[in-house]
Amino acid sequence: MFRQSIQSVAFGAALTLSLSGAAFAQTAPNVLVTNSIDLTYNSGADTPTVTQDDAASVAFRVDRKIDVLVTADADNGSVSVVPGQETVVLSFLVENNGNDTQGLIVDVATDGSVGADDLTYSPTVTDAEGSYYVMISDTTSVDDGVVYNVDTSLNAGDIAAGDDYYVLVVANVPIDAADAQFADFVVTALATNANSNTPVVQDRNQGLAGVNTVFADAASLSTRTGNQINAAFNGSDSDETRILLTAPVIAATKTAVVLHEGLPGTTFACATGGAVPSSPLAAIPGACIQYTITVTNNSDSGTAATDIVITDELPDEISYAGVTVGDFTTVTESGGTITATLANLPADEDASFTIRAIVD
Amino acid sequence: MINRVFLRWLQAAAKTHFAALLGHAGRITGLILALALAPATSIAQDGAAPEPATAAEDVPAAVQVTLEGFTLAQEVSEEGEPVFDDNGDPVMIRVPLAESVVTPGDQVLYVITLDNPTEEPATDVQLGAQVAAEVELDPFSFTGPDGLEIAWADAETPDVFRPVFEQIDGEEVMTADLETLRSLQLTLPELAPTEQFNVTYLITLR
Repeated sequence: MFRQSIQSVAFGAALTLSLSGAAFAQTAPNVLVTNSIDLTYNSGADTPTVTQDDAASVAFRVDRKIDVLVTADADNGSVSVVPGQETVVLSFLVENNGNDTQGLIVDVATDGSVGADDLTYSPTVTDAEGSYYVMISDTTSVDDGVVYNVDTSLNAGDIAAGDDYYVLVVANVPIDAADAQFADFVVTALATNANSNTPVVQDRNQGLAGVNTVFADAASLSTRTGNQINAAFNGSDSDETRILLTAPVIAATKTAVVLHEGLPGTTFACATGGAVPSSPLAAIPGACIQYTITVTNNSDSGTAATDIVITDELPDEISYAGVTVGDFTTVTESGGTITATLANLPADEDASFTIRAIVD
Repeated sequence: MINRVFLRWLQAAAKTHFAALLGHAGRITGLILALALAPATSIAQDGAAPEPATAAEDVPAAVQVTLEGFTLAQEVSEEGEPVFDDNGDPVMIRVPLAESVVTPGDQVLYVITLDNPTEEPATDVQLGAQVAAEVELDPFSFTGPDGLEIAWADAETPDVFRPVFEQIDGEEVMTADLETLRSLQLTLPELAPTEQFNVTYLITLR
């Protein structure tokens, strides 16, 4: 599923971006750069020095360079999230590396599924599960941003040469999102003329006296795949970020076995003694029961589980006898309730502990 | 006419070797080859080639100077593939400014041609060239004849010229302040009768 949406924004209210200072000052379009030559020399012993001021000159007019750069602020092109996580902010720095003020039309495309359905675009701020919205901000904080409606192709705000701002994609991950699910967000900024919704058109036919307009943007490659996601020299640029569900997938099992029947004339230390018999025994009153609780992490994304806590309330018909910690960090009993903790369980591993009790 | 043909041949030779020249020209000495490879005086900015003087009364009475500007573009084959020389360096061609697009970051090659058509040697030849605030000089890009001295001045002290390259601890060091450099002074002891030379250098538009 691929969604590409464009919404409108009230241009004047969207941004009054007095953005941070220019990273570097480039010569503005239409500036005339002149080089002229003066010449002096002597010719013959009795002749005065010959001087030719402005003996030759050449001039050119600086052309207009359109160079948009979009850079996702995400390590390795991916952001890890967990089911139900709200306000996941994907920030994209948009820079005007050209030499003239220009506007930008911002587009956000999504691909992939998180949860049962695709993420849904909202033109307004929302905390609804499975939705996302877009903001323009001079920082990476949503607190500084203004909602931008990408559903119509309008200028998100003029940006001076050398300045930048952020496009923020704010997503709310549904609680039913599963481990290793993902959604890709591709943000594209297209240069428009200043204070206009009209995309810039390249023009190289103005000659030496006129001002040419030249696209100087490089091609954009995916950080994750290396594939081209935006061509060079087209007045636009793109970058992408993946939302990746990285939740551990924990499964627990509990099995029981009778270690000793506790018949008259026999003794057995239920808390610590014995081993699992080779043939089944009867769970009669006085018998010693061993419960084995095992947890397994089946995370496809390789995500470890941390701070696992298991509680097990013993039935009224049996009495607590003891525990073995096994792979767990701690196992304690209080009032017939067993509490076991495990600090870390890597993906594709399991851990167990046991409880022993006597049938009343 | 022979002179024009010869000069055009020189230009063709220059086209194929100019990349290497730009890459390695770091010294002013030993640049006789650059003199031969630079475009001829007779090639005007618009590409028109004036006829050489043929009569005594047409011979100019003074040293002639021309200034041309070019951007550099990699030569492309008929198949549309970029052309490289035997060393793997791109073969660059000169594009007249009139046919060029110049945006920040682009380089412009200036070619100064000095011609002495008189019967007297010109001595203490001195050229003054502006360097606009919008551009930055590439001091290592100069090509010119033996004996050419290059000095620079800034805007605050426009009459105080200092060498672009100075000998420091036995090594030739570039000492010009490229941020404040606003003019160049090119000095040659002598330009013999009927001879010419070229000086080329690159600037980058800020």
